[in-house]
Amino acid sequence: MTDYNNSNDESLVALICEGDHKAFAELVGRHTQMFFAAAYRVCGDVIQAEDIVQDAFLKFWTKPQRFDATKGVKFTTWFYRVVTNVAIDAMRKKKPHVSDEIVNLMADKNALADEQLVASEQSQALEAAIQELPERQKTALNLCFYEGVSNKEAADIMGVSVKAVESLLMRAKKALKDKFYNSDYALREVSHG
Amino acid sequence: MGDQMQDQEFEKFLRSRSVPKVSQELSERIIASARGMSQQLDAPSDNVVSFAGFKRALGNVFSPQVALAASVVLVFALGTIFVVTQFEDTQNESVYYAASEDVELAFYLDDIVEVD
Repeated sequence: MTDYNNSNDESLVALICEGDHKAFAELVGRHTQMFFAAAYRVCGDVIQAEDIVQDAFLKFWTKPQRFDATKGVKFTTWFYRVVTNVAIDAMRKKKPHVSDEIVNLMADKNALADEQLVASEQSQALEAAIQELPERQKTALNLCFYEGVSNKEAADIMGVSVKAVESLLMRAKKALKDKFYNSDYALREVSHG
Repeated sequence: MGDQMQDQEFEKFLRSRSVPKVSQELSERIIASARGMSQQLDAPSDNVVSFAGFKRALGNVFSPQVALAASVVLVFALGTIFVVTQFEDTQNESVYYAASEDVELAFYLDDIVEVD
């Protein structure tokens, strides 16, 4: 009797390659939230993020052999790349107009009625600003800053060097900071909050 | 820096970014979809009775050896039924044609009688 709960991801993948549906269910249950978060951080939309995760998992179910455990890469590292690529593809097909969103959020001073609303609008403005970052900067930021992935692992996921990841991270943070420094609304409210 | 945000505050602000909690339904939907895809792949491509189909169906109930033997017997039995049925149809057709010929002959004879 296979103990699915105590099997590591790579063992589950080996079972999935033999068509073991329970192993797949265990893997999905274990990682859906994590990969949903990764997808959401790329696209900023709940429904779209759910579709991305579902699409990625079903692609994996049909071709689990694509994950080559002999290369010494963790399943989660490999699957981050799959989810990120599916998400980026989805975003290219349906590019949101975040620029307008940022302008509207920052210009609408009448909306700053109470503290909760301010916080909510700040977080929306932050989300929109992150969505506006160049693709690779956004991916590096999402992985290292929000997903807690190491720079080395992020480099593996993105297929770039560790130095490149560090540089992308630095540029992403600087771009966001500049954006907020240059916006009197966001900066003032955040520093006071 | 006046109103400008300090580095630490900015980091804190960046960390405040939240992600909605994923619904339990998503996992269930993914698992159900994968199961549906497997069933589609396993299903026979059409309704033609096949040896592999019998073997797979019986293999779910019996041991592989029993399933194999039972499949052979079943396919043989169905084949026999098919051949016998075809033969009977051919026989019936012969009887029909024979009967038709008799009727035609009878009409012909009637005609002769009428002429007489």
